[in-house]
Amino acid sequence: MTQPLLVLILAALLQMAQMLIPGYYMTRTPGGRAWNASPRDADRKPGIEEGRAARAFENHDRNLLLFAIAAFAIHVTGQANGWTGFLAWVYLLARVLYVPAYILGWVPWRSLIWMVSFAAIGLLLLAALV
Amino acid sequence: MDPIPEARVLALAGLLQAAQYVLMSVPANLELGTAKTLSPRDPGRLGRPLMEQVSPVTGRLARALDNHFEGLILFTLAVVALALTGASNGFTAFCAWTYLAARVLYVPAYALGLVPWRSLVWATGFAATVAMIAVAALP
Repeated sequence: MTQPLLVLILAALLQMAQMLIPGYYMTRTPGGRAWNASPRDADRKPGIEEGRAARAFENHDRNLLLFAIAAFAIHVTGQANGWTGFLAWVYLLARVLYVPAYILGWVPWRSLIWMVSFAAIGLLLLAALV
Repeated sequence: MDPIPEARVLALAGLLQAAQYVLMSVPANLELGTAKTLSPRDPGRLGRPLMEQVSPVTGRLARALDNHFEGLILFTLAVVALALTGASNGFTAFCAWTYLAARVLYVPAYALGLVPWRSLVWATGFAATVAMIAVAALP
């Protein structure tokens, strides 16, 4: 297995973990547990940390798609090498750090960490085109 | 795994989306100010959702970006399925390039508010994707 594909699997596992975080905060707020299990017909205002965790998850949803394209393209074009493997790990590290950066409100680090992950995707896509 | 021509188009579509991200983010950051965009964006402090505070054209670019994320999921699925089934052929490669051309045109069509062209361009990209998936699904 090439490094970008291995990292893609780990990034998907990270996203599965991220999916659980808003629910963790939700169940700790009054009425949160009941709303979580309900068909969610009524609007509910999320708590601060819950909202941040949910936005971090949604952000990763989109970027994970771009990373999956990059990892797949690298794999099928045979561009898996030390450089692209390094970029893939940079992406994963940045996305891991992005979660506490968002929930704890690290300004401007959340944005800078996001940019690192975004740049890694861009460089991977360019490498696949060579 | 042998490279198929669609894989290259997929990488280009990924770069297009990266470009669309930048195209939306730069004006959005200029209009909203970094005090808002770099913050954890808690709704209580933003007043209104950020997307309601940007200019009409930036809002269009943001919706074009959102729309391409949805299209890109199906297109990625199509290319992966073609690569793994070995069903790629001249027609599916043509469809892939058609998709990319449509998604490129979609951005100015949205930004300039070209009615009904934006919708027709979108339908072209969607039809090309569905055709690719159908070829991969055929026995």
